[in-house]
Amino acid sequence: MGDDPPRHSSAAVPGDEPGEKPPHLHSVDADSYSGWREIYLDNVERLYRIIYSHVGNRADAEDLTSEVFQAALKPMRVSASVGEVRAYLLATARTVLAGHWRRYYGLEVTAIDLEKERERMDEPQSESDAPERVSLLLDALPDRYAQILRLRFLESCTLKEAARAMNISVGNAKVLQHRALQRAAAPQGGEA
Amino acid sequence: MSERRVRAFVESLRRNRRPERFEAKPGDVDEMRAAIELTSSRPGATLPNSEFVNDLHRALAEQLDNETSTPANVTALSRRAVIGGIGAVAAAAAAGVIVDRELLHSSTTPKVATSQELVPDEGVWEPVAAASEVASGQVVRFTTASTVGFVVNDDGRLSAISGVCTHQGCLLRHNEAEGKLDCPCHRASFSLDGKVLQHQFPGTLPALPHIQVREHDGQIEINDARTV
Repeated sequence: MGDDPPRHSSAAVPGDEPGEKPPHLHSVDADSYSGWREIYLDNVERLYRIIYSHVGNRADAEDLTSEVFQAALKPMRVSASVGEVRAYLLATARTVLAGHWRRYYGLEVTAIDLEKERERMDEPQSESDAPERVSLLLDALPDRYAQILRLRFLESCTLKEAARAMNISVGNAKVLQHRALQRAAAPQGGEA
Repeated sequence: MSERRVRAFVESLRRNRRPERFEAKPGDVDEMRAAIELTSSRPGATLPNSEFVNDLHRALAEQLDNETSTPANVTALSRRAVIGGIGAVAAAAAAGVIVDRELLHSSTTPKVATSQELVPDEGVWEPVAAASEVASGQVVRFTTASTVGFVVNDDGRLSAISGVCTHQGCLLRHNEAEGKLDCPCHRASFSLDGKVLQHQFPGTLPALPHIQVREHDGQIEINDARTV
């Protein structure tokens, strides 16, 4: 501390030349990172996954993930345990997400729970708990609610197709979906 | 009525599209939140597009590597909001992150070639399997404290390669039937000597690094990073 921090140089590094891919292999078992590239490559997928699960669409997830890295990497000087870097990224993501909801919808629809998501940041990237989470969500609902949500969200049926599958009118399918979503949100206790 | 806007919001999410912005009411939140939960529970939904990952990597490189910088530049950057970043950074700092080492220092970043032999700075021969377990034609996966890989016995010739996909670090699986290594994340696959067989990304994907391997006292050993 106190000393001038080392400045990054403009020396060419692998991945800068046109047509050359950035180095994706990195020492994930190290206790610390050696530079911003390593931080980025090790965390971009983890962070995107968490942000996506709080906005539910690709365009917003990509924008917010970019925003987090642009905001966090520039001033980052870290004593660099991997855990501290991830906590920092996550805290930045929480603020960026809160700003997104306030700016575009006027209130906070979802919020990042730092403690819970911190554990998810450490999970292996190839694993996904999506099937378990969706099962838990749907199993807690009455059959017809679960059925309409499964048809519409997991099987990508149109309203007409879902209505036909359930032998109800399109209008009823619309109402059923609305009620099912409200009911699905209820057990989550206020935070996605 | 916001009910209509909420319905449009839900429909956009269902189609994995950016929803239109609107002034939401507290009563809308439950439905919006449930739709987010459902759409993000779809298998594979939360995996980032590799094009996005590469583009952002390149954009960050342009920003960060070009800031060569005079101290004045660095100070100015830290004071300026970058796409609303100041608030975010302040919040992160408030979360208790210890800050004392410059991470933007590219000159200290190890240069990783696109395909090479993995030779640790401080290596130690680490046994990963009994030689009898790696008979001719066998492929054996191993893990140590710092390395995941595969040992291959190709007609008596031993070799070892990294078991980590060079795209985003997912762990490779041995596809015994087809004699190759498959990445479960984005469908890349590699031959047992580390060459890229297929991938879905623009540009090239680096081959798997080789790891030094030997047979010693009935054990298969790799040159592994010293962990202490």
